[in-house]
Amino acid sequence: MRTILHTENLNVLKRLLDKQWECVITEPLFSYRHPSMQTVEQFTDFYQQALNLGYHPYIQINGYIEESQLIACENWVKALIQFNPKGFYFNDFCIYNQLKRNGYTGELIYSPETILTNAMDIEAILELVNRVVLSKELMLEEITQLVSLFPNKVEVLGLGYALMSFSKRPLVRNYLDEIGTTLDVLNKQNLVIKEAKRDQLFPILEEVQGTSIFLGSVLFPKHEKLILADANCYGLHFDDCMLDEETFIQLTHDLMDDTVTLIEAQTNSNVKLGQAYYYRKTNMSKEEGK
Amino acid sequence: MTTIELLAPAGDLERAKVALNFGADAVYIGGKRFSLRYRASNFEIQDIKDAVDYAHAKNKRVFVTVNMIPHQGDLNGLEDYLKELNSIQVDAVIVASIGIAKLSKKVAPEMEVHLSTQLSITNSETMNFYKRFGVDRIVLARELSMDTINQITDKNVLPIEVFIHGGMCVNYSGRCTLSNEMTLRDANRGGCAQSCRWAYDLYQDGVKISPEDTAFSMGSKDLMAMDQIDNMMKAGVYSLKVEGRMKSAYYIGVIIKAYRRWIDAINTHTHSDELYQELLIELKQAESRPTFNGFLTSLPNSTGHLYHPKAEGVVQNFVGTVIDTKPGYILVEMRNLVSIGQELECFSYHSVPESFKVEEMMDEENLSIEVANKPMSKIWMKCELDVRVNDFIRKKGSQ
Repeated sequence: MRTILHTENLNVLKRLLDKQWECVITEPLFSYRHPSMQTVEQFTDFYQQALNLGYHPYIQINGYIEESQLIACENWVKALIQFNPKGFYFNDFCIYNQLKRNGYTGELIYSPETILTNAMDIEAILELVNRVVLSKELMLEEITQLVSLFPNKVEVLGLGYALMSFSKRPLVRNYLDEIGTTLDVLNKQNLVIKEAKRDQLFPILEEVQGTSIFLGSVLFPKHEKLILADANCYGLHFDDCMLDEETFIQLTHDLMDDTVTLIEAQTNSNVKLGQAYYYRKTNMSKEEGK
Repeated sequence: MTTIELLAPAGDLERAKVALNFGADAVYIGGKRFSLRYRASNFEIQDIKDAVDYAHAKNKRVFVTVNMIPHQGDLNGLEDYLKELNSIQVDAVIVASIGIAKLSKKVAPEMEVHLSTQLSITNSETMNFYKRFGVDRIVLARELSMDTINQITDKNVLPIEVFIHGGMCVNYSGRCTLSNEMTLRDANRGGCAQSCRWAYDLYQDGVKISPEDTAFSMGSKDLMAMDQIDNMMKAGVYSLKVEGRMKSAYYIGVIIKAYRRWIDAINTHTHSDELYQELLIELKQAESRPTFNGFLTSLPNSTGHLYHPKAEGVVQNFVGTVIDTKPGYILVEMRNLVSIGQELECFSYHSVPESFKVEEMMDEENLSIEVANKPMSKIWMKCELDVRVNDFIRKKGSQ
């Protein structure tokens, strides 16, 4: 089972170089969740430096492409193909069409965050792409079942804050306007929201493309990663979005080091660790739910 | 300009009939399985068949939502269900899954397949992608501007359906698991608890930014796109969709009749500012939340949210539904308080609203009363108008 890094931090790539992991770089023009990389120049430079380190990066384009963006997007896709990435992760199927139309022959991985939750859909999509990334809101039992049905074709989040929602609206900016406060919140990774009756702090990231809200704990599949490997999962994504470098590196080491227990990892960390929906059944009725 | 479809929601057979009678060209309903509203559904297969028969007799159509994003364990019985819908001549299924779209085309080929807004489709290239699975219609994402909708319809890839009225997801539909986290209820499997409308506090670097009187909320105002109907018709949008399978029969009647009148007026070139203003007032008669026009003219700013939901006044003038009549009297199943002397109005699909003053009321024991204040009680009212069973009674104006 592979490990696939999502980062915009060159130090992270350097510090984890010896592990010979894959890496994914999110392009800045038609994607979200790239708070530290805003320009083509930054992206190009980062990609080149990743290459220089010995990585062969994948490129992610995870946005929802609007009609007026199609031509610019296709021109950018053509340019990205010239980078010769190992593959493309995408959310909007227009990217698939554009890559195919422009002769791209590398790996294609469909990664929609949610909505990919059953074998029927996975089977239909795998007729067209190389692999898929499963939804975050699945139980471990469901994940292992799906992974087993499609050996080495399915990837999942392995470490990081799982995305809970994505809005096109600038939710934080709108709220600050309402309360008459001027703060620089764009691309900042230091914002959280807290629901009145709950203790959890949910990281919230506002970018030009929209607003992402994440689960209140970092997915940390200490025991579960072996189960996923046994089920023939192709790869685990380690994503440092909303985590500082030291925390992410520490978590990475603690997750991979079999001598470190979950309790020790939690003690070592300044963020709350969790298992996302691995053990939480979420199809409760109104009466059954919280 | 071509004739455009007005598509209404219906939570049960009664509401489906109301929608069709008040001017919808088609209704969409959800059965007791595989639908995002399945837990609240009142549609057994026989009810769906009754709705189909009722609609087809009026040369109208019925679509069934099979729009759950199913987990593996939810799929049992899906194929039989699709075949059953096909056999009772349902016109289309609305789906949010490529797998279900493919299966429906295979086992229920007479039914159209419409791709749900849950798939967040925002461009014609993606429509082209989905076309390979034989889909017949695309329900666009609600995040699009009128200009973008125009650009998409210009490409003429597939018939386009656009939401024009009702509740708005603040996040891209289908891409939100707030409810899963907060309540263990899966939004994509019919459990949305609308956690986006809850009150949160915002912190930066551990410092609370939210003042005590205004919580951080993501709650959206409802969509109301009356101002863009003309543009949508010119653009060649195929279907205009009203949200609200959980809404009341009265709500559906008011909303559908208003849009029907406006569409017909545009079609006959009799639309005017005066009529537009009249219909805006009419729409407000049924609203439970403040409205705006979503993303159609601009990216929503702070005015598109509900930060103070209790402070946003809404009209609550629905009095009740007529359930029986006798000469000079109507029997009303009550929803709101009414007093002797109050001016009421009959709202129906068969005539323009007519008003009457409450001069006499009797309770179920035939005792004369001055005030009717028990919800669901049945009250006889003196009324000389041509009122029929299932007509609605409401307070006149915004009393």
